Amino acid sequence: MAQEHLRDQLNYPFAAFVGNDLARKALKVAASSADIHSVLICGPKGTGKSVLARSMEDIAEGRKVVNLPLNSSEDQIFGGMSVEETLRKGRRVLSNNVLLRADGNILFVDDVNLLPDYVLNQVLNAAENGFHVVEREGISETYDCRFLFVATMDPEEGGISDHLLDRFDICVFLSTLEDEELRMTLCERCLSFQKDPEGFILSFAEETGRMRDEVTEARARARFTRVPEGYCAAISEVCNQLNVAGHRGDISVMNAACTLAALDGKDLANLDHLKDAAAMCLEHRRNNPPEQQQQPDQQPSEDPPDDREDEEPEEQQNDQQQDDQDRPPEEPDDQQEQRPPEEGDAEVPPPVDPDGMQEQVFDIGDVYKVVDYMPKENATLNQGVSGRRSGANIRDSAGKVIGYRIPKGKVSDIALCASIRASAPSQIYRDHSELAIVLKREDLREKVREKRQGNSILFLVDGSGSIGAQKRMVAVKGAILSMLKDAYQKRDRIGMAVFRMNTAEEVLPLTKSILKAYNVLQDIPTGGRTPLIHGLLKGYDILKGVDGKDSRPVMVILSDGRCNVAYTSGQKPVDEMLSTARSLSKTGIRFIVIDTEAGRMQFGLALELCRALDGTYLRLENLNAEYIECSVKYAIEG
Amino acid sequence: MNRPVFPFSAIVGQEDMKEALILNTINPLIGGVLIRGEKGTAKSTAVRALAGLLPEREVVLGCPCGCDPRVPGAMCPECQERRKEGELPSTAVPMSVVELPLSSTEDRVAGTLDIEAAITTGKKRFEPGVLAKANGNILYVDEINLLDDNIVDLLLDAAAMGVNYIEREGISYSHPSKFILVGTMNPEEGDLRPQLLDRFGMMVDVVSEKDEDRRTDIIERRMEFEKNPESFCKDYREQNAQIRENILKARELLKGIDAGRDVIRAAVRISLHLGVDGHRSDLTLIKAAEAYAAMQMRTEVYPSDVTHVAKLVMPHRMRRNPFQDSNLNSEELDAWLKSTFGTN
Repeated sequence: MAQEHLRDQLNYPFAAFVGNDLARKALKVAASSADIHSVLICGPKGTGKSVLARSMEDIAEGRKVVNLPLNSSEDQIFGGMSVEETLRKGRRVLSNNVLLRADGNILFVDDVNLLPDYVLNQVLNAAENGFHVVEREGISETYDCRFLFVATMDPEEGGISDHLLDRFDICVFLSTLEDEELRMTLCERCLSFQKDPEGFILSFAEETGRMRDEVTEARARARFTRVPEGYCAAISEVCNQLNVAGHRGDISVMNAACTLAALDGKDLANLDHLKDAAAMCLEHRRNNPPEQQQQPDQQPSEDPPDDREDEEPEEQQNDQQQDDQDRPPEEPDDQQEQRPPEEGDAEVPPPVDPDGMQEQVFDIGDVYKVVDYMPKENATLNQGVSGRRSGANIRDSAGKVIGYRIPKGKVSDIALCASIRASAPSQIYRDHSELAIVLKREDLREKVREKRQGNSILFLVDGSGSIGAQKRMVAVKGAILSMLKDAYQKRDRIGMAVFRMNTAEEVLPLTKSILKAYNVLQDIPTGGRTPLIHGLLKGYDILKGVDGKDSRPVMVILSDGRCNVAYTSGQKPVDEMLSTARSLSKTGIRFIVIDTEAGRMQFGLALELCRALDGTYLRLENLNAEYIECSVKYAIEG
Repeated sequence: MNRPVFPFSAIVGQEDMKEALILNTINPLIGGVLIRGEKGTAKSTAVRALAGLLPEREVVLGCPCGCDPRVPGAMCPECQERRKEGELPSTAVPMSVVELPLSSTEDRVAGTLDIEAAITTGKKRFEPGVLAKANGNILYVDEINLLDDNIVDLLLDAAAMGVNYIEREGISYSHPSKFILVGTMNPEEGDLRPQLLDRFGMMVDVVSEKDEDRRTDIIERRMEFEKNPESFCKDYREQNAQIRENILKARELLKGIDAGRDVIRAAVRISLHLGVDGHRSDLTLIKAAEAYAAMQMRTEVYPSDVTHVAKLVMPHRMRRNPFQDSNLNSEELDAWLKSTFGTN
């Protein structure tokens, strides 16, 4: 029972692949070099990543592609005990596992970003070392596994962490072809392959054979090719310029350049080889990708936020105009806000100001990257499978089985296979009059499951006049949108509640539909007083229904903390707010307070609120990508 | 299980959905349909009714994976073994609709170790799961957007390669799993993962019927069906048979259809204009156009066929930004198609 029988399944020929020349060249390099162990093929869906990877059999003579399915169990990948053999012999025997089968072949993983990090790490280790050490189920063995690791991923589903990315010797990017003629050729070839695979493969047989010979020759030659003297320094310089961390990049470039030269039938690499090699080996290791360099760095700023608060792209053009509009209404408002809100007690509403009480709907401010998800996905905190923020081992019969353990107490979720394996060595000594396998209590194992937990994030938005008057709402909406985008990638559930006037209102029940959230966000009105306590209680009301097992409740509060409406009459609003907050801090909800306070006089009430909630505190001004990434992640996973 | 199913031909309206389903049965390579819409718009009814129209296919007798005897390269290990001993016995069975319930567990979907066999005989044996049953059939997932992520990963893997690889519980096994994926979802309950969305060849949005007369029709037919399902089905038997025959004829015709350069160019232009990711859309447009031509009982494909099917093939691919409603572009697409190709 193995995969070999499907080897005769027909693959689209490598030689017939259209476009993306650098990627094809890179795969040839990988097939020709003994020092390149891993290749990552990135690209949007439908660009032929898997097709290209699987077609490598064509050019790598004598090697076949071994599949590593995403849902493989660890013992099956790295080796565990072979039940049948162990039963027969009465001593533990290593099972035939995926890595063992990959020895001398090509190991292929589709959508590698969905593979658990710890598995990927071990596979990369094995690829680099050429051997693997098994220490599990009483088996202690070291076996050889020299293979070329080929993986594909679509960054849209979340990336892999930087340090894992760095482990890939070569990373190539496939892109959608933009040239009409090329694309037509591609279509024609694909269609004729589907109609008549044998005939199509035959029509490319000559070309395939030529490429295979090229690779075979290069493989022999690559050992003797060199890089000219001065090139080493050049490689180091390029790596420095691109801000490449570590030295894996340098080494990979050298190896790739030598192999490229060998493919060309040369003994010495030239500048073109070096350029190509750098493109293959360094793009995924550079620390500031080109699209980021073009953007102005959004650094956390110590400046008074007045002139930064609504930093939107349009602002650049009508700077002057906006300034004129901004100033006048801000003056009276600032004065009003300078009075500490404690004095503005519950009974007396703040002086009516036209900007505050009037309902207004603001645009959505500048959107920034909350998580630079392609290479920056956090790994150390994310033990679960990428694409989700929180992973938790749970004792529950739902979720993906990731392993098993010796149970404590009563066994409910029994891992039958693991139990059988545990019992296998002693079966030979047991009474088999009725069953072929006899299990005893000490053999029993239970399943360890992991449910990929999402978060239920409730955005609690201050819709009061003070936010509106200072156009803080534009920035607030920008912040929410940035977080929404992030939630979309992480597939969190999100909801939104707004507090203003005298009450709080759930404007968006918890949902996974980000589109809906976006529509709601656009229409959030502002104006009126700040009933923060109502907001907190509303938020609690919404989140308390969230089952902590399926999803973790998170409340993101965007406010300046200037609560001026009491929930219970007779109470001082701020005191009541803080005591409510202290009670809420024990509910298991995680709080993130984003302080929107601006202006010359600041009271720091949001900070106090945050302390009472035992939450994470952020200032709106500091909400740039880097900062929020760390903080939000810390708050959620920390 | 002989529960009567509401006949396909008795479904009022929802022409796009019906067309998409039929085109997929004519050419399974189109890659399935995602049906989006509010509740109570005959989504599930249509998919279940489709079972009554499906043509027969050849399978190896007694194979749990439903291997196709004509493709020796893609057979399960048992069939491979049996083949060495001589000609495989085969039989014709109707294609079926295999449902994947939301509550399915990973081992039931992918297949797992046959525990009973392991304990009583001490031998490892593979027990096939839903992905094996779905081979050669329609795999139907109701509310696919609510499916657990780990199950979605399984589907993605199988859909990408047409093979289900299992490496778990001491079992290393693989079997063919080529299916037409049909999913329904209510977009209000959440989005679909982009990778899964892209696996669907077509997407249709269904809305409830607005026309008063037709709404009355719907209610009347449904009530009639519920009162006396057998006689209701009988009434529509002939119409159903007609559709089925057309599908069979179209499948025959399709074998002789070859898209010319003008058709391919039209498909490529549409994809380029809409700036969709990847090249899947081009191919799907062409295959769908061929199937549509066959459905019209033609042996020639025209660029107008491509523009006709574009409304089914393109909408879910146009969505690059999660904050854009894909429907917004639908009219724009129509207008552009008209101005560029002059037909439609």
